[in-house]
Amino acid sequence: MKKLLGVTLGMMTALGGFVDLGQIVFTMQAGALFGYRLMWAIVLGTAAIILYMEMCGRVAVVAKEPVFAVVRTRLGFPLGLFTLIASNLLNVITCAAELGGIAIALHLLTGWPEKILLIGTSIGLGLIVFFLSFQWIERTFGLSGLMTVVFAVSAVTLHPDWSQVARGLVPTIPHPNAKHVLLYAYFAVGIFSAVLMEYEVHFYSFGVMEENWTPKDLGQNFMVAAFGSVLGAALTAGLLVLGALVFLPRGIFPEMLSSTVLAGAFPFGHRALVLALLGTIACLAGAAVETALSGAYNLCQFFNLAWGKNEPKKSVPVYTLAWTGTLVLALFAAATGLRPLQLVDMSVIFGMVVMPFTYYPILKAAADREVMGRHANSKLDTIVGSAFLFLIAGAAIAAIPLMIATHSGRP
Amino acid sequence: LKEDSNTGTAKPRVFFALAVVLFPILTATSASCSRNKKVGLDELRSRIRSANSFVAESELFIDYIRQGHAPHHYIEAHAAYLEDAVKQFEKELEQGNPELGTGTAIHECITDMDLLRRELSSIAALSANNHGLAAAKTRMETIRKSLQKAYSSI
Repeated sequence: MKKLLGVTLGMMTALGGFVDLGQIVFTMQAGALFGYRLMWAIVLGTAAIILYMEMCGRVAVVAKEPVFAVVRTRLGFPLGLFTLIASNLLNVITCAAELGGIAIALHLLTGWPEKILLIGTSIGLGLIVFFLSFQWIERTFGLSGLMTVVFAVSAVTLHPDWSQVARGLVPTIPHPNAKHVLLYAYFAVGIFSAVLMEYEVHFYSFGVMEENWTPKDLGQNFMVAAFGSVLGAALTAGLLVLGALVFLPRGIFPEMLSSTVLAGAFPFGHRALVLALLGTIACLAGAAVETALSGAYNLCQFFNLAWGKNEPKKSVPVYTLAWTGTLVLALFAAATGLRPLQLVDMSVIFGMVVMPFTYYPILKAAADREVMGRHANSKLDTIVGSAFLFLIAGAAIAAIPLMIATHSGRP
Repeated sequence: LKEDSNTGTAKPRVFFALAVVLFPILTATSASCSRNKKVGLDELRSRIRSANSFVAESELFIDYIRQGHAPHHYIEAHAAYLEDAVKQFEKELEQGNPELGTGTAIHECITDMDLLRRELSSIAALSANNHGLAAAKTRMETIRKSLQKAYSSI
């Protein structure tokens, strides 16, 4: 039972990370424009996230080094500090987008005013994080996020052409038209980035340390990372299929969360729509909590301060203040009137640019035999990890020019 | 873990990283403002496609309501979000700087979006009225045809 519940860490990490606001809207837009042609980007991103999540967990277990201690020691203090600031800024932007998304979903469900729901949501999440232990946080959001399975069920119910879906696993250029090619590349980079959002691997590593895993748990480490990520990938693939089946034939480019939720319940009735909304709220709440806590873990681990969700609040004052501060800043950012999807566009592209600065130290640490001993990367791990890092760096370089050239993915 | 104490190269690396991270924020801001630019033929086609997307989405929404699948709060809120998005889009169209030969089509597009917005504003009130919804959908089809005509004329 304990092992089974341990899987909830991977589930929360993946559901909050994969199926967040950015992924829901971005992936459906990709499906609405290119059908199944970007399925390969989901698979590629999933393989990369499993590899890096496993490495992150392994470094945390064996070297007892949390991610941002690794970043500081491997990049040096100045660049490490810079990465910390950039990552935490990204956490605030992402958290703000998720809070705004939850307020929209709750408004769709209840009809109550969005601003009040935004404040209520932030306070509610703050109380949940304050009172629940790390294990109960992961179980609550990991299991409740499973309601988003309705998206995958809807996708299957609409009978996609599976041979076309399989063809989407191979990258193909849609039209020999420069604008289409650029849009295709923009969405490929966006999906890849949204799957690999750095706070996912950070949060996973924090979870491994919070749960006091030992080298004996390394077998479970791969299973948890892989299971959570494959589940997240399946749901993401479901979103792409829905975009291809519901929106593409009608020439719709979905730009609102309320439209994507409708697609999730499309073949079913009233209850499916409610379930899709509740699942979306759970996943967005999981993502908001992940980003708020990540901000606190990053800060404390970088400066070697006391941290831990399960520690008494008085013994981890900076940590408690930091996650509360992240939530408050995110609330202010969301309340300024910036639409959550504008924030998401920013976080997906900004996230891609920051990504190499955190993934590189993880690869370097996991491959270090002096630190990791017999648990260091195999040659194959390092080669595959380096290949993915190369892709991440390439996508990071391409992200900005593509965003400019496509006006942030406008068809 | 060993401390990377290569402090001699730390400063340039930090400046490089600073540039790398600040650049997207600035470009994201400029990209979001770039909708107010000159509207040539390519941009016009893109905007008419967006207008068509709003109409098609509204038609899909009406179909969903007519099937009795949507809770009332959802109908009210989604109709308001759609209306808001169309209003925002209309504003972008009005603020655009039309190039020679695109002005008429842009004006047509603005008129169509205005009509669509009016239809959307009455959807929530019509949610229990199947005939009313059917009539609204017919009017939306007319708007879509008008947009298609504008698209094919350029």
